[in-house]
Amino acid sequence: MADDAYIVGIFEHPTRLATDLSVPQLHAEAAFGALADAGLSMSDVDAYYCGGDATGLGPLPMATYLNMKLRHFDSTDVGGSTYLAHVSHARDAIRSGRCDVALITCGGRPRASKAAVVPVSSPDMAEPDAQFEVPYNTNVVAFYAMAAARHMHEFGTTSEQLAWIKVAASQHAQHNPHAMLPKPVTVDDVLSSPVVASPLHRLDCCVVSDGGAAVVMARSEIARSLKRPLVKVAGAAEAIFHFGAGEPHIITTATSVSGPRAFAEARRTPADIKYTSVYDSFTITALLQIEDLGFCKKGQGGPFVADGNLISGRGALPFNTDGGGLCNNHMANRGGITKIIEAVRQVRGEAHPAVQVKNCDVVLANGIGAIVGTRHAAATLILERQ
Amino acid sequence: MLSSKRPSPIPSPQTVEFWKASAERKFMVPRCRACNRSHWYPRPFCPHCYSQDVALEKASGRGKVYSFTVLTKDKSIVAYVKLDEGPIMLTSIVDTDPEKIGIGSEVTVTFQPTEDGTLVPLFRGA
Ligand SMILES: [Zn+2]
Repeated sequence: MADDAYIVGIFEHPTRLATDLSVPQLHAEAAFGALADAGLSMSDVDAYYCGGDATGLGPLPMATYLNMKLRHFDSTDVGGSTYLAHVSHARDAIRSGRCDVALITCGGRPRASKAAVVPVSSPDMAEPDAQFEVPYNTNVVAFYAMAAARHMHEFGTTSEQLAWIKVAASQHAQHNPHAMLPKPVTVDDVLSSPVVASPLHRLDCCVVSDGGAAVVMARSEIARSLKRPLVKVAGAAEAIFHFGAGEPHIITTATSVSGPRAFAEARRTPADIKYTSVYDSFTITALLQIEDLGFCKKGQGGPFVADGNLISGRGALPFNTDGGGLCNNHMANRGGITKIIEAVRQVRGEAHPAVQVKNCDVVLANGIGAIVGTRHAAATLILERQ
Repeated sequence: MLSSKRPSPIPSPQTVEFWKASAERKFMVPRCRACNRSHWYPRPFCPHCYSQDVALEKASGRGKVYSFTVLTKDKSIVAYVKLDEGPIMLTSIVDTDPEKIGIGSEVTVTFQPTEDGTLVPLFRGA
């Protein structure tokens, strides 16, 4: 019988400005933190997962730096959702007996290195589509702005409704001592912040932060031997949407494929989810996923998120109770791993008491990597407290 | 001013013909002779049916705005335009008052030089 896989350790580095920490050291400190959280040590790790934020060739430099003895690895890189995909892949590897303990790390220092501006495409001009994108001088926020504009056009969504997503995140961030933007904001604050790319305002955008984070997974027998709440990966799925032949998906994300598959595997429905982490590079990113996960009908995301419906203790769908990428942390311009971490805190009952969801036994974490509209990868995880 | 700041495309051997035509202010869209469908961006095979019987055809140069955004930093307009031939293309809208266009507005192709003088197809209000 296939073994189950459990998330046994998590750690989010408290720094948001890593002036004196190298990228490998951010990964290392996050790894030590997550292993300590699990009650394991580096010598227990036999599988390692990292994305393009790790320096050098795939997992090799970090494997060397941490002197890990590995029999399994994966350096799938799809941008911000990479780490959710890693959990999915590690789950499969643990189930099939390829490894016992998997370590996933993320980290980077775009603030300290003043490389905060995310290039729209990889500078590798050999990419087949780059020559048909770079002459148009676009950037990441422009693509999400076009998603927001189209969503508004088709469904009547308003800037005020989008602003509620930031308001909810800020209500949560005030309880997080490490959040970059801990001050609650109002809908008016969002709407009066400067427009960056119409219709998106500066406060519709996530923070740029340095940081490190790690997740440790283990097979059932090991997980049960540790003195931590048992958090099972009950459902996991990924999907990629892209421009294809000239049919960009700008208001529907690949979550519309990964979400239902994860729900089916976990034998759950959206009504079972007590807490959800959704990727919030921009307010519109979160709104699209909430629809695509089935928390509301496509097009109804605007009314759904308004009036505090995402605020823990107040609304029907508590989300991103750490403050999310919008207010807390979007380390290395990649917000995926913190989505896993806050979902684990919630399902363990270890979130901040002011935002902890009651009876939080089933949670969801979703990520969107790269850019909705050109090409992106979604990954959905459903986690259950055993 | 904006046009001189546009990064230049680097053609691949498979797209030289497209960029040559563009240099002569001809906007070409590939069409598959097996399934008769157009696609964007140009590839030497059909991404619908995978036939290699694909040819560039001079396009109508007309389309409708599918979505767009005005970037505050330089007032430039980035857009997706649905070409009359079918595909939706990432592009820019130039020489057009942002207040005078919306989703669904008709646009027509025009050309502007990039940093190295390469002419790229983009659109303006019809
Ligand atoms: Zn064809």
